[in-house]
Amino acid sequence: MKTRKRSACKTALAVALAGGLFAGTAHAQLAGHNVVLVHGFQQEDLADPPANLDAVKSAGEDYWRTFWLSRSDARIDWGSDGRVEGNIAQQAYQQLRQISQQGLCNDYCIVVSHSTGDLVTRYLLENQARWLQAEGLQPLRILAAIDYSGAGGGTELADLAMSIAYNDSWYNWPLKQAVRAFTGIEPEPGKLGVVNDLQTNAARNLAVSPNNIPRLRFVAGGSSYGGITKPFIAGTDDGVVPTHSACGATTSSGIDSCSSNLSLAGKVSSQNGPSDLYYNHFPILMNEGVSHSGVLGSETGNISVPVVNNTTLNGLQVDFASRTYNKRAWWQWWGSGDRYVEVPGSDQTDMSTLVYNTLNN
Amino acid sequence: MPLRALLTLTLVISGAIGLGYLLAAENPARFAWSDGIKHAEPRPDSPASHSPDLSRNPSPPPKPEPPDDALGFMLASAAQQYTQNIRYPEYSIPLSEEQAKAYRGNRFEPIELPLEGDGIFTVTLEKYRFVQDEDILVVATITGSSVVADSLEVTLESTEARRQHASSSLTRNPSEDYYEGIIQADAEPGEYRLIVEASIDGKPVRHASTLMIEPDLGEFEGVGSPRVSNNDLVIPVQFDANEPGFYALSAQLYHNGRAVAQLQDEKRLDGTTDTLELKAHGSVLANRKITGELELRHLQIRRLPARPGDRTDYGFGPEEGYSFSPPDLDGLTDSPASDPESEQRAALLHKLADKF
Repeated sequence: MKTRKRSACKTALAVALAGGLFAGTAHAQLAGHNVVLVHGFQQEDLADPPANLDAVKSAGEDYWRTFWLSRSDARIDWGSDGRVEGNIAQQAYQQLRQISQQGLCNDYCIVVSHSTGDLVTRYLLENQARWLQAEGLQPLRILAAIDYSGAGGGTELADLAMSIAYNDSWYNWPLKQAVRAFTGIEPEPGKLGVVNDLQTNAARNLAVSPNNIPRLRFVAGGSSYGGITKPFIAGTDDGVVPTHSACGATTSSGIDSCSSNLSLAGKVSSQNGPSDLYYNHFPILMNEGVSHSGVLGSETGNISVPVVNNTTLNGLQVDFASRTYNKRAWWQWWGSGDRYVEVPGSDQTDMSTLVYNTLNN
Repeated sequence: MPLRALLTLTLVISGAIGLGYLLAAENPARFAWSDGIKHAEPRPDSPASHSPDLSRNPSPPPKPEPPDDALGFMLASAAQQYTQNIRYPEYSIPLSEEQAKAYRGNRFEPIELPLEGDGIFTVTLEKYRFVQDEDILVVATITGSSVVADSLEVTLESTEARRQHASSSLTRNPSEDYYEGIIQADAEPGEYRLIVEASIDGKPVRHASTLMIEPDLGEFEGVGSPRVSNNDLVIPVQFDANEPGFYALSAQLYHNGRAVAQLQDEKRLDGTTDTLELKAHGSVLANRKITGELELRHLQIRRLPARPGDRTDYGFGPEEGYSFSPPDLDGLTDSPASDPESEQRAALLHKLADKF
C-alpha cells in the first residue's frame, strides 16, 4: 500500500501526459524482458473512489513514480474500492487485453508487484490464459514475478478492519487508530473495497492453486504510520504486510523471518521461520529497516539480507563467511559479537535500485 | 575494618570480572538477552530442516570463494530450485505435509480480535466455504480478565446488501472455556459476514469475519478405472455438473496416510462429458514402493469465471475421498516432465543467474 496526494490538476496533467496505457519508455526492460507493474492498495480510493478507468490509471502511474515507472513497459492498474473478483478483474483485463494485442509479453515479461498487487497478480495469472484465448488472443507469457512486500497471504489489519467496521466508535482506541491509518477511512461495512480480499482467510482461499510461474519475494520489516500498526500484526511485519505473507508462507501463523537461521536483520541465529512455503515461492531478500512503501525506491540506508536457506549451488558449497560481519551489541563488553549476513553495500541504495541494477548489469 | 574493605573490594572486582565474562561476545551460548520469541522447531519435511544450521557452525573450514554478488547468488539459487520443481508437471506436484494442508483449500484459520486490556476474542470455523443449508459450527473463546456473559449472539449477514439471514446463540461449554453453537447457511450463494457479539464488561463487542456460501455445482459420482499412460497414472473422476462451464478439479493423492502429490485438471464440462482426468506423473510415484490402495482426498472443483468480474464457485468431494487399487505401476519412471514453456522459463532464469 502506498498513499498518494491527489488533486484535480495533477490528475488531469497526468492523464494528459500518459496519453494511453503504456507509460514506460521504449527501452525500459529488466534483464532484456519487458516489465509489467501491478500496484498495491491505494487507500484514497476508499475515501474517494476513482470516477473511471482514466482516474485509476492516473493513480497507478503516480504510485510507481519514485522508481519503477520509467523502467516499465506496461502497467495493470486497478481501483482499491473494488473487489478482486469484481471491478478489479474487469479493469485489469482491459489492460491485459491491450498488453496481449501489443505482443509485449511474447518474449516473456517480468511482473513487478507491490503489496496487494501480489494477490491481484496471482488471481490474474490463474485466469488470464482462458479469458484471452476465448477472444482469440495470445496469453501473456510471464518469466517471473518480483513481489515486493507481497500481501497475497493477507494482513491481520484487514481482519481487524472488518470488526472495527461493526463496532461502536468507543471501541479499543489504539486498535481503531491502527485500522484508520491502514484504511485511511472510518471503517464502515460495505466501504472497504479490496480490504475485504486482504483478510487472511479470504486471501488464502483465492486462486491459490500451484503453478509454474516463479514468485521472487522481497520482504520488508520497517515501520509505517509511526509504528502504531505493528502491535496488531502477527509476527514481524513492515507496518502493513506480515512477514508470513511477504515470504509466501503456507499459513498465517506469525513468523519472524523467511529463514529459520537468519533474522530480518541478517543475524545468524535460530528464528521462528515459515514451516513451509507455497510452491515456486522463493524469498530472495529481507530488509529489517525498510518500510512497506520504502521498498519501491524511496528509502536508503537499510541493509538487505539474502535469504540463505541452502548454501549449495550447482553442487558447490558456498561459504558466505566472506560477506558476513560481526557486530557487538552495547551490552557485550568485549569480543567479536554476533554474526550477520548481508548484501554488501545494500545500505548505500534502496531495494528497488538494488534489484534493477543487479539484473541489468 | 580494613579487612572488610579488602573483602568488599575483592567481591566487587570478582563480580565485575564474572559479569564481564557473562557479557562477553564470545559467550552467547551461556548468556543472551531473551528476545521473547518462541522459536518453532523446523518440521522434518520443511525446506528449513534441510538447511545447514549456520549458528552451530561459527568457524567452518575454508570453502570455495562465493560469487561476488549475494543477490546474484540468491537468483542463481532460485533458478536452481525452480529447475528442480519443473521436473514435476504443473498437474502433479509433490507435497510436504505443510503444503498439503495449504493446498487442500477451504481452510479457515482462527481470527483474533484484541480486546481492551489483555484479552483476545477469537472465532474459529471448520472451513471457509459452506454449501447452502449446511450447518456452520462456530467456536469462540474470550481470554483476559473481563467479565463476559454466558452466551454470545451470532448472526449471518450478506456483505453486499447487509441483510441478516440467520441468527443463533453460542453457549459456554460448561467444562471447557469456550463458546460454541450452530448457525445454518440458509442463504443464497455469496459472501457473508459472520458477526459474533459478546457482552464484555457490560459493553457489546462484535467480532466480524467472512465466510462464503457456495452454490450446488453438481455431484461427484466416483472414480473410473485408473490406467497408466505416457508416464502418468491417469485417474478419471466423474462429476455431473449442473451447468456447463470451465471447471478445475484438484485433489491430493495419498498413500499409507501420507500426501504424495497435488493433482489438478481443467476442462470444459458441457453435458457431453462428465469426466475430468487427474494424472499422477511418474516423477512423484516411481521412487515409492506403492503397496495396496491409493486414495484421492480433499477433492475440490471450481467453476472458473467465464468473464472477468464473475466469481469462482466451489464444490467439494466426499469427506472420505476415494480409494482405488492402482494398476501395475512398474512402467512409471522418475524422468522429468516436459513442459516447453517452463523449460524456457528455467533457461531464462539461469541465463539471468549465470551473470554472477
